[in-house]
Parts: sequence; C-alpha cells; structure tokens
Amino acid sequence: MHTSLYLKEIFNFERSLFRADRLDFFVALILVAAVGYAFVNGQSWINKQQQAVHAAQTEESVRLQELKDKLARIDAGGLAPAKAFENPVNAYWVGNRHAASYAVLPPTAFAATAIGQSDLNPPYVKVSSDNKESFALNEEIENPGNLLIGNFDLAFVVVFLLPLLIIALSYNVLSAEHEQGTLAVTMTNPVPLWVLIAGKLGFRAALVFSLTAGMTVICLLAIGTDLSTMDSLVRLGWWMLLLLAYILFWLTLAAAVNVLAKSSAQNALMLTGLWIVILLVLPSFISIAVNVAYPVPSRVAMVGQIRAAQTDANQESDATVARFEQEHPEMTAKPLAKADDVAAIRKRVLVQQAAAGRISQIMAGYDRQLARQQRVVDSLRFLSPAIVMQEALNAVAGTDNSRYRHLSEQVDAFHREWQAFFLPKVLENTPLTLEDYQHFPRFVYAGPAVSETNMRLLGGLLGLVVPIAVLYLFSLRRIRDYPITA
Amino acid sequence: MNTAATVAGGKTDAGVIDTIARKELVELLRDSRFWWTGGIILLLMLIALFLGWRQMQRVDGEHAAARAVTYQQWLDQGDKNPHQAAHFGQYAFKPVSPLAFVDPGIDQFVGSTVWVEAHKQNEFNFRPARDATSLQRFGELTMAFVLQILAPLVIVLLGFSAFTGERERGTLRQLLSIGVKPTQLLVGKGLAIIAAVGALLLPVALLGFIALGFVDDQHADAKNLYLRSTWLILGYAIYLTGFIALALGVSAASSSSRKALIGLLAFWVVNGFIAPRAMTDLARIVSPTPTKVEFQNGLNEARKATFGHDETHPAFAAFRDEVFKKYNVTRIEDLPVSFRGLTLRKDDENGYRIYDEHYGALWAIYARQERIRAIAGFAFPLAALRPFSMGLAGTDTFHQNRFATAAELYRRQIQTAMSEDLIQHHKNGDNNYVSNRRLWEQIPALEHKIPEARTAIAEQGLNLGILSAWMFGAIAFAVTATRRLRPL
Repeated sequence: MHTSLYLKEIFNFERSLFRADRLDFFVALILVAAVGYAFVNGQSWINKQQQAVHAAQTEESVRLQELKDKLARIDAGGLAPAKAFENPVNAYWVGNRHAASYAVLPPTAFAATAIGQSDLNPPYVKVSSDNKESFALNEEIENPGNLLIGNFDLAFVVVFLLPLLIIALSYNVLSAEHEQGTLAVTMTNPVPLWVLIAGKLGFRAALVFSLTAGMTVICLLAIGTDLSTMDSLVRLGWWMLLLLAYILFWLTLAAAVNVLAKSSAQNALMLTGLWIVILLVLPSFISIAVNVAYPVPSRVAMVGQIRAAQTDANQESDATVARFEQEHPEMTAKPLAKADDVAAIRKRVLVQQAAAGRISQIMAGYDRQLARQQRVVDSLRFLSPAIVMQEALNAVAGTDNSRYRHLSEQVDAFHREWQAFFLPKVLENTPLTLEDYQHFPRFVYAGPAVSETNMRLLGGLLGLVVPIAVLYLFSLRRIRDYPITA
Repeated sequence: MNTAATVAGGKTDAGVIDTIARKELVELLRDSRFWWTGGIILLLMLIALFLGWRQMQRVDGEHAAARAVTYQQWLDQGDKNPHQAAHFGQYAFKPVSPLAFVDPGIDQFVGSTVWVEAHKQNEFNFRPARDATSLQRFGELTMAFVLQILAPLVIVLLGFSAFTGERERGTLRQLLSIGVKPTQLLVGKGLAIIAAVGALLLPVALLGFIALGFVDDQHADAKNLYLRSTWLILGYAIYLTGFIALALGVSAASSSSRKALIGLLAFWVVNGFIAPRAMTDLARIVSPTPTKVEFQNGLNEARKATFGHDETHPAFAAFRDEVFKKYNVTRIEDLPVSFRGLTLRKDDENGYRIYDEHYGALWAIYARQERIRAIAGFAFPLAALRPFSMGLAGTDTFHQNRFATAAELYRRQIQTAMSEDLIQHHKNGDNNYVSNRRLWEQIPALEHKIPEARTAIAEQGLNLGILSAWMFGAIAFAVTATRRLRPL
C-alpha cells in the first residue's frame, strides 16, 4: 500500500479512538470555551480602549467648538476677553493648551486577538506645542496588580494553554501502544513506524488546528471583523501559519520525546518540564538577564537631566530673548495684547525652544539605548519558541512594541507640524483667525509598510520552523532504534 | 492518644509515623528525580536571588541619585517668587523596598516617579515595564516566582504517586494488612515530603536572611525587615504545606498514578495561570478602572469649583469679601497680610479635598479589585498568596499608595510653606517679591520609610486567613481521602 493510504487509514483509526473516548468532544469543549472566552475578553478590552479614545476625541471637539464660538463672538464685537490666557486668538495658549490635539492609534482588525503591550501604551497622545516631554510619556490609569497578572486573550490561550492540551493528547502517542503491547501487533502490518507516528500526530494536529482556527474565524466574524480587506486577509494568513507552526512545534517535540522510548509517565514529566522551561524559565531568565546585562536606561535619571536642561535654558533666557530681538527687530512691535504679556509669552517660547534641542537629544539617547536592548531581545527570543510566538501574535494584532515605536515616530512628526503652525505665530504675535482654526494640523495614523511587518513575522515563522525541522530530523534518526517489543 | 495507639509491629502511633517518614525520606533521597528537580530549583533560586539582588541594588542606587539631584535642583533654583518655586516643585522617586529582591511585585508595572508641583496632584509616570520588552509579560525569574509556581510543581512530582504507586506495586495491601492506619501513612509521607522540601528551601531562606543584614536600612529598619521576612516564610510554608496535603490527598483519592498526576497538573495550571487571569477579568467587570480621560474629566469638573488663578471666579470674589470682612477692610492694599498668599492657601486647601476624594475613589477601586481577586484563594491559593507575598515584601499597590500619599503630603508641605512665606512677607501690590535659598532649605528632602511590619500584616490578614483556610481544607481533604483509601 502507498504511504498516503496508510496515513489515511491511521487518521481514520485515530478518529474512531477519539470518538470512543469522547476525547474529541472534550478537546472541542476546552478549545471552544477558551477561545470564546478569550475573544470576549479581548473585545471588551478593545471596547474600553475605544471608549477612552472616543471620550478623548469628544472632549477635544467640544473644547475646539467652544474656542471657535468664543472667537466668533469676539469678531462680532460681543466679547472682550480679560486675559491673554483666555483669548482664542492667542496662538500660544491655544496651541499649548486649549486646542491640544489627540494623536490616535487605531486598532487593527486583529487587535482583540492579543492585548500584548496595548495595556501599557495608551492608544492616544495629547499633542501640544509644548515640548515633547510634557506629553509623550503619559500613561493610562490602571491597577498595577492587573498589569502584573496579564490578560486572558487569544494569544495566551495559544501560547500557554494549547501546548498543554497538545502534551495531554500526545505524551504517550507511542509509549502507550508500546506499554499496552499493541505496537507489536500494529507493526506486523507493512507500515513504517514513522508513518504510524506521523499519522497519529497528524490527526492531532488536524484536530487542534481546525478547532482553534475555526473557532477563531467564527469569533472574529462574531465581533464584526471585516475579513474582506487585504490587510485583514494578510493578518489572518499569518495568524493561521503561525498557529499551524506552533502546533507542529509542540507535536514534533512530543514525537522527539516519544521516540526516546521511555515510559508514558516519564514522557509526561519530560514534556511538562519542557513546557515549563520554554514558557516560564527561559523567558523569565532572559528577561532578568537582559535587564542586568543591558539595563533599561533609567527614566528616573532622565527626569533630572531634562529638568537641568530646562533650568539652564531658563537661566539663559535673557540672553536668548536679547538675541531674538536683535535678529528679528520687526517682531518687537505690533503688540496683540498688553506689551508685558507679549514679552512674557515670547520669552516662554524662546526658553522652551532653547531647552527643546537638549531635551530631544536626551530623549533620543534613551530611545537608542532602548532600541539596543530590544535588538538583543529580538535575537534572544529564538531561544524559546514561546517568546517567538508571543511576539509574532502581538505583531499580527498590532499590539507589539514596534508598532508603538512607529506611533511615537509619527507623533514626533505631528508635533513638529503642530509647533511649526503655532510657534511662528506666537513669536510674530499674529492673532489666530477663524480661517486658521479650519487649518489646524490633524493627526492621521499611517500604518507601517506591510513589508516591514511581513519581514518581522517571517523571522518569527522561521523561529518556529527551524526547531520543528531539527526535532523532525532528530525523531527520524532515533525512530530507527525504537524497540517495537518490550 | 494511647487508646488510639495502634500496635503495628509493637510500635506506638508516633513510632509508626516516624518509621514511615524515615523510610519515605530515604526513598525520596534515593530517587534521582528528587535530586534533578531539587537541584534545578535550588540553582534557579540562587540565580533569582543573585539577579534580584543586583537589580534591586541598581534601581535603588538610581533612585537615590535621582533623589539627590532633584533636591539639589530645588535648592539651586535661585531667587524667585515662592509660588513660582512651588510650580518648579520637585520629583518624588519611589523608594525600592529592601525585600524587593525576594518579590518585586508590581514594581515593574507602577510609575517610578511623580512630579510634585503647585495646584496639582499628579500621577506616577514611567512604568519600567513600558520601556521593557514584551518578555517582561512572561514574568521575571524571582524567588517569589520559584516558590509560587515551581515549588508546588516539585511537590506534585514528589507526591502524586504516594498512594497510587503503593497500590500499583501491591505494597499498599501489605501495609494495611500489618495494621498501619491510612492516616499514619498520610502523616508519615507528608512529613517526609516536608523534610525534603524543607531541606531544599530552608538554606535559601537562611541565605536571604543573611542578605538582609547587608541591606541599606534607609527605607526600613532591621526589625521591620526581619519581621516581614518571618511572616513571608510563614505564608509560603502554609502554601507549600497545603500543596503537599493536596498532592497526597489526590493521590489517595485517585485510581491510578496517571490520573493523580493529570489532576494535580491541571490544578497547578489553573492555580498558576488561569485563575489569576480569569479573576482579574472578573475584577475589571465588577469594579472597572476608569480611563485616564474619565478620571481627568472628573477632576477638571470638580476643580472648576476652585478658583486657581482666575480672579473673575465667583468663589474668588466670595473669598475676597470674606477676607475683607475678617480684617475689616475694603481694599486689598489695606490688608495687613498678603492677599495673594491667602488666596493660594485657600485654593490649595480646596484642591486637597478634591484630590483626596478622587484619588481615594480610584484607590478604592483598586482595593476592591484586589479583594475580588483574593476570593479565588479559597480554591486556588496563589490568589491569596501572591498579594500576601507582595504585601509583606512591600511591593504591592497598598505600599505604592502609601508612598503616593507621602509624596502628596510632601507637596502640601511645600505649598503651605510657600504660601505662608507670601502671607508673612509679601506686601500687597509688590510684583517683584522674591524669596531665596533660605526658604527652599526649610523644606527637608523627602524621606520615606516603608510602613511597619504590623501594618502590612494587618493589611494582609484576610489573605492569610484565606490561605490558611485553603491549607486546612486541603489537609481535611487529604485525611478524608486517605480514610477512604481502597487497598486494591
């Protein structure tokens, strides 16, 4: 008989065995419940975030409308603001406070599948014409105890729980047959042992993959994901590939342990031990080792450095103002409000700009150090397929660190645009008009190039495929020595 | 006692248990599995202690340096109006608990610094986890992790076949036939595992105790730390004893070693990974955390009632009239004290109430979430042990909020001193009044000591109760299951 026919035979046989034990039912029950619950959870997290974004945007538009109304009344001669701070034509306070605008990161179609780093990085940043340090690192409110424990999302189900299910289904895939004596009987057929184990594991792969993938698609549709766009199809494709690779990794691991010809109990212990090493020990060990070897630069020290830069700029303020007035004699005239106010605000902006250069240097230095640590981790992640998988699923969901770095670069660009709009008007002492209000810069997030995400994910997929290949070759070598009879 | 003393080979109750315990211990020590798992656990604990210590020392050093810098910047800010100085403010840096090397708790997930400035109680910023890679989310290799997650697994491996193994080998029938009572077997086996695990863990605990002697006692005195450590050890002892009872009980109740192992591993997974997350979700549903926008909007709404620097605010006019009446004058210039100073003090006092109320409500939500999470501890003890451990180590939300309160009180101390200086020395109408370093020096640097051990113990009393209840439940289960032990 041809190998594929044997495989089909073994497949059918395994299916009957699972049916008889009602195992297929239990596997389905566990997966449907876990995936379903994870989706409910992931979606409610997205809802909460979207509500926060919505509240922020509403707050902004209300604020902006009030300013416009006020300005219209002033233009009509019905209102004379008492202070520069309250005057909607004042480019300084409008750009710095009143019109400060939210830069919003939209969730991807797959955001509900992996909460990832999205509980640490708020999806909105309130950008103003003030310096970057005043807003860029603001954080969302959350009970730190919740953050510590983490989330029950689909990525957790796949990365943590699925391997346990696979171990439970396959730790004795060969050893049980051996112990029950059925292996010798089976092997009287002209079927190679590797075909037998491939068939048995293949059936398990098909069962677990089809149930998880099927339930995932159902849940994605149930939460209203549009799967017809190119973007979501690409994400779905990656998600399925990664899931398949991860399942195969654990199954080949089970195969590699089984071909060592130990008892079922020893297999179970060894696989559980490997689960602990891959999911708990290696990640936590790498994490703390990286922290000790390449410490995350201390934000605590940065605070002091930024403050020193601000103080220096302040102390040199008279010189800065004098230099400005010398270079721009035309701007010292035409006061918009009280001359005192104009001078004070101009001084503020000049001091701010003087400090900005140093501060952005300090912050860029920190970002470089962070990026270096990230690179170290990027290469160390290949030590554990679980890290590879978690990172890859976060990337598919768009909740990984790289997407937040990407956001932060775009926020920087938007911030420069915002400052370029307001600050010259402040220095020139030009009043804002209703026309200007229509042209305030707006933030629009542009996702990273697909190729960039694809490269990252390809790296992740290789991080799974290579161990699979190694385990496969190992199993194939060792299976020749497998003792069929006791 | 004597009536219950069964004669088995002429031995008393205690004698039988002693014999069983010795035999079991010898067997455990001869088992290579024990040496393997024990060796790995020991190695991991030593690495965890070492790395945890290094990490703690580094962070503590950074924070100490930053504290010195911010205070120096405060002193060196130059001559300025006291209220401007209040706006300049200082940064408060969270002290690292000296026991963070055992259990760093929420340290990575909580902001490390807060800007102490005029008018506003700010939130803590810079969560280290945000700067860390996503590896952080897998957890850190710490003593707490080894003891909470890995040690129970070792116990499961040592205990799952305690009874089923005897039965499968046919030795259980022999034992019972010579008059050994099942409960004697249980106690003997339990004592053997306790001795083995104790031999593994106690030297490390001792090492931890010795390490405490080298802790810089800036944030806590030695007595506080030793008390906290002793309670920590007690908590972990309860947790692990419960696991030993559970493993033996499940082994007694199961029909095969395989089933016992699967059952125990399933419990271990739910206890360590599923229950904490599921309970966190439940806590979020029952007592949702507000978003920052909601929280800020709430604060901004409430603060509209205060006048800040807005002299057209009705409350401002009302306050001015009140002051005029008190000093029996009609113009600011006639006041014997600085009106600006008075308004700042008044506005601050109004603000304090609002901040106390809003932060109080937020922290009450956190506390409720913690209580909900802990309920699972009756069934899955990690839910009670984790907060207990963080609480005693001084690295939980309670301790964080204690520091936040201290930082806020420090802020108020600065505000009051600055406003008082204005009230006393500023002449109404003088726009050029400045104070100098002498006033800045009147504010001492912020020092924070972690609360006394008894505060932490009182705070964690409920969790300790839940944990103990679980342990007694596990023991009761083990006793019941052993009494019903079937020899075949």
